[in-house]
Amino acid sequence: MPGKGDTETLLQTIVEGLGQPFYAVDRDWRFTIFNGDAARYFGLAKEKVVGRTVWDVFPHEAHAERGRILMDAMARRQVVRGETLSMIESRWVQYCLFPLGDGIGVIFRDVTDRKRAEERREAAEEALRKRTMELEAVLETIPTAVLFTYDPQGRSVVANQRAIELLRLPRRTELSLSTQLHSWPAHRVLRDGEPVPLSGLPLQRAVRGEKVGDEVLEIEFDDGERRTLLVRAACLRSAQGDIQGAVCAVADVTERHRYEEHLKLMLNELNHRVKNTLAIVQSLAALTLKDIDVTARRDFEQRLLTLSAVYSLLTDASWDGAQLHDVVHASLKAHLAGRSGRLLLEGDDFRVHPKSAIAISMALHELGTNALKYGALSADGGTVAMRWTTKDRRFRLRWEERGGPAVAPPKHKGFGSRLIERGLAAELRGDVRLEYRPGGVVCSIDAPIDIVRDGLP
Amino acid sequence: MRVLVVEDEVLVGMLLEDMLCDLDYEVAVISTNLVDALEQAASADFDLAVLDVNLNGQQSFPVADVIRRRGLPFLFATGYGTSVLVSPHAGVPVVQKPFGREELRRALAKLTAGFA
Repeated sequence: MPGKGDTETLLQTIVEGLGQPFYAVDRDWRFTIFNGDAARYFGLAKEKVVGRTVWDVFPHEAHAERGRILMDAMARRQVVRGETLSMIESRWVQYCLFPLGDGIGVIFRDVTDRKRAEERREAAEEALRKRTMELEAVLETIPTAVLFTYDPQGRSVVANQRAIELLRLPRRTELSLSTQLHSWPAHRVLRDGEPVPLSGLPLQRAVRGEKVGDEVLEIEFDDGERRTLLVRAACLRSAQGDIQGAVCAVADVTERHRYEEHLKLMLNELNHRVKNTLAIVQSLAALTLKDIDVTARRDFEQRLLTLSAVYSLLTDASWDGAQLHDVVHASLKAHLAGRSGRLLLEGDDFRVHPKSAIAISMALHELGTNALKYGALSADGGTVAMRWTTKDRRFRLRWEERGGPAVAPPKHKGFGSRLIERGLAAELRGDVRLEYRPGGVVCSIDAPIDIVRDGLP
Repeated sequence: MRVLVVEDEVLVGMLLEDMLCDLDYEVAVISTNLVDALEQAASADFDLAVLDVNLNGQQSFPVADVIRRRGLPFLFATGYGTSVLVSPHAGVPVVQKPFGREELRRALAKLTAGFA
């Protein structure tokens, strides 16, 4: 049996060996025990605490929750366990209070880290719940069908409400559903009129790692209904980069597609009528001027044909503009027939505004006609150099004839030169100079590139 | 060379006739509607044909089929682009309306090259 001294030592050893803060108070709230861990935790030396009361050492505690817990344990004389905020600010402790002699013993440990981790997890869960809710709300509201798959074959899919409607998937009451694609109602998916096998569908390709961007597909159901679909798909990857599934977004563009087709048809029809009308005007002029003025008839016809050729270019591009190279070739087609090597073209191709295209074309046609009648293209070996630049926001074009017969300025200005100097200058808001130099005609155009490209503001 | 002209626009037909004469072709028949054109294509005496694609809103492809079966060459004249042509006529020469005499001459020359 150990003696009294031994018991003290044993008690001391236990108190210090607990590895947790521990203190004890007597019935008058005086500290009787205050172990090393408690001293370190509170930052108070044992000698300064033992013998004083709790309310003396911690004056604020009497009115705090912790004071109430202590008083409660003292009164009930039972073991009390719980968690509370520590006397040290913003630390959490887990405590156990128990009767000890006529007072109570208090053992506790700091659980702030666990508590913080719990709070963080709860916040993360809440954020995730909110994100999920938002995402589900978005998925159910957007007019786009969305399909997910987490299956390497892409057979089992999750679809939003729009997808159920658009693709006629089996209807269920849940917000989202899983369904087997092969249990789908009879339908065919077509690309350019050709049936697409299951493995060739965007979602199934995406799950194999392919990125599918803006693909147009048609879906045809057994009742004959056809919808045009615009589809995008991409795979879903884990943080490690492994493919876990795929997502596919499908927009119904049937109406837009029909509208576009209709517009294209209308534009094509309009172009046809314009061409037909031009052909009638050509016939009227030709038949009217027949045997009267052959030159006038030919000049008129050539102008009309050039105008018509540029109209064709513009129609092909939905009247959005035309490439300058194409405009040049369309305007000088008749002049260069069999002489294509005699035109030197130097300048970067770019898209010009429809009105600029027509104005440039008319001017080039007149220059070409003049060159053919009197200029460089009228004699063997004569050449035309056409160079342009688009620097400093200016379009600068130079038409320069060489190697033709000696040139003398005309006695009066004809329609052709008026069309070039006045018509073109007005259309392009630029300067046009036509010079009849002895060595050959030189025409220079200097106009703002913005107007040539985008038309008049 | 005798030419079958199928063109619903009378004025354009007249100009075409003048152009063909200038180019030393002989106009066999000018037909202005699909029914007549089908009959002429089957029975008229001609060596080649110039067909307008759109005849009062109807396409002239059945006429082309008849001429093709007779083994005679033809070309289309149209205000539509070449995209309007469908098989088996996809490779047939086309002159875009309105066209000049030179353009017509070249197109006809291509057509008759194999028969020279």
